[in-house]
Amino acid sequence: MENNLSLTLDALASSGVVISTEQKAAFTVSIPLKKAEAGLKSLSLFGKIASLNGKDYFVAEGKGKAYYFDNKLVAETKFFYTQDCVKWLDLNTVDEETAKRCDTIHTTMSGDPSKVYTVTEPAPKAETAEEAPAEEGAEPAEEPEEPAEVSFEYTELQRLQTMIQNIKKDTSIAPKGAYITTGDNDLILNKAFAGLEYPDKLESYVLSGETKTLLEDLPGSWSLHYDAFASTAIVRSLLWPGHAFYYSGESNSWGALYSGAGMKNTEFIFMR
Amino acid sequence: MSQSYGEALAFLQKTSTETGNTAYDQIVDVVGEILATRPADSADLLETLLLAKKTAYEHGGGPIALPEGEAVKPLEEAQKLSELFLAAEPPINPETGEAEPVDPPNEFETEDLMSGAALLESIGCGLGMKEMYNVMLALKSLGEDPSAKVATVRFFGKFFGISANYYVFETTLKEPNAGSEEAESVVPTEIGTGTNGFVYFVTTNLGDPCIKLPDITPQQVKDSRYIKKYLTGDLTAEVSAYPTFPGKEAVYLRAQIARIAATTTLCPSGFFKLGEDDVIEKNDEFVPASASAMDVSSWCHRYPHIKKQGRCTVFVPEVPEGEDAPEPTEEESEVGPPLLAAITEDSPLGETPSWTAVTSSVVPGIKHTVSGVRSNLWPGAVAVTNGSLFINVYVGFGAKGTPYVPLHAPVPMKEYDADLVESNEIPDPPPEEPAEGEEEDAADEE
Repeated sequence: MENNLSLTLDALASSGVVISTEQKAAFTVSIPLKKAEAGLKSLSLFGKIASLNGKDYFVAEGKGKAYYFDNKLVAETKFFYTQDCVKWLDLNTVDEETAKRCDTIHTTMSGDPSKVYTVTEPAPKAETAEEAPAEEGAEPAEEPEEPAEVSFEYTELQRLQTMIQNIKKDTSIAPKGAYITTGDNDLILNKAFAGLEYPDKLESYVLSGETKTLLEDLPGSWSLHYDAFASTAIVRSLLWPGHAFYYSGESNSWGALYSGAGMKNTEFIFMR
Repeated sequence: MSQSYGEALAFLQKTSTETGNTAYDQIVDVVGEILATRPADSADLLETLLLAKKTAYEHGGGPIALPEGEAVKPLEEAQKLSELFLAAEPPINPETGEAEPVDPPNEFETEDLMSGAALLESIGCGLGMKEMYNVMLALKSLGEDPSAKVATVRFFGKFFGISANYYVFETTLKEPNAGSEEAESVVPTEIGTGTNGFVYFVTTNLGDPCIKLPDITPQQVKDSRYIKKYLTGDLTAEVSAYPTFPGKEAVYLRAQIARIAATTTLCPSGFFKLGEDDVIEKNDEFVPASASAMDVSSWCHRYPHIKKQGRCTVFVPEVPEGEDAPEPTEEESEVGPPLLAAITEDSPLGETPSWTAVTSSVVPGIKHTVSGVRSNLWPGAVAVTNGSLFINVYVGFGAKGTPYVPLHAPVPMKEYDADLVESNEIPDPPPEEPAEGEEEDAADEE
């Protein structure tokens, strides 16, 4: 069983992933409602991104089908966000350029989705410089004043989507063998998955969509606590503090939630 | 018909040279499995079963035997936790078979942790009610421990480590450490006040006895500011960092606790007042405000601020009589915020305010809401109140939320005088004249 919100919250509360009583109550209604409305195969809570005005962003991930195409995992995944925990709104995907520039903003989210951030970067070298000497005989024309910098404006929602994409890319993990590709390259839940044999080892967890286990990921970027008595493993990302994953051998269930500022720990190398 | 059936059967029963299995056996297994379990979506299951059979790692069936040592430890831990739920049983004397006399449980005071936990839960912070209950039992066990002799206990918080987590309890002792501020170093350690106003106990497993953390020295506080580390979960682990940290993880943890406690322990404004000699005492005239009307401006700091010197009160060395007092250094002349300073006075982190107000409900018009603030300087530190009851807790990695600026390595020392490399010429022999002059000078002096 995967991503059962009650089980996940129960397992991850001790890792500081707690959502308020009001929010929990609202989600039991609003998530199934949105799922039906958007016609999704599944819709599960992805996590919470803290904001400065106290109106945190909650993000949910809706899934259609997933399949392998050209050796890459292609998933019909759609994200939604909410601040009042009732009205789920679309979170549109951002292109690579936008994501790259949004990545350079390192402030905590304000909580106002329409807030505009300005990213400035040096202007690309203009091609006019090469053309100028070609004009022989002509008086050196006054070079048009070019801006030394160009600026781009992005809304907080674009930043939010960038954060989610980044977190998702680095932290979506699953027990090894829990998913399986079908004949037509559709990645589906392995219903015959009998549980992990060594849940206390990082080798038992894979970054989903890849065959890489956590041991082969960036060394030292994962912290695994295994309670053999309760047969529950808690896996926390040290690169994305706030991301926590659990696997229970008892109920053969797993799930993950993110609860943090949405920022990568770029100081990881000093802290480990 | 029967011939082609026989051929097909024979083909299916052809043994694989790789695994020794036959397709026939596998199909029989799969069909048998489907018929035996009768799943609702057998078409999906058929696909997974076939695939799983091809890809799954087979260990030959049966549960895996854990090495014995590993199986025993978690069992013991769970046993200890379960004992917290029972009345403590006195040890039995093996010779007489009678219960041995034990010290009566220690009397202590504590806050209402479970009501506080409910407040924390309602704003989406804390550790969840179940874990908080275990924490409360562990706190009671520490409080009643006749050997620890604590007067008050408070759950300070939980620190996540790489391989284990720390539960930290903040206590005052009935028999505080005697002794005065020793001047063993330039800046003496505060004893019983300031950064060492509380004694901290820590455990990685609720139910295990708590370990007392050492007092913190000003130098250790200062050194902890230069580094940012993940905790490992082992108090005896080395803190590998640059600049070198003078102590094991227990000291680093204690330093982080001191810094977090001083910065993020709050109380509603007006709950305490400054009495004579700047002693913080309870304000009997305090009127609880409605939590729905509270925001960042309704909170103030409860513990004194830690100065750059690593102490809460600045130490200025005494000047021996008859000597002029030297100019105070920058550290010695620092004037921090006053006691019980409002948190709105805290310096912001660039454009980011140091605190964010949170509430239990966004539905307008709800009565009896819960209000709190969370720290942006120390992510994980929160304070929450419903108007009459308030609680502080820290749940996090023990790392400050500000960008870390690693210290530069020192400039490498010169190996030898570089001037000598410039020339390959052999130095001239020393001229003789100046030597004569020297002799003359010497003669003149005589």
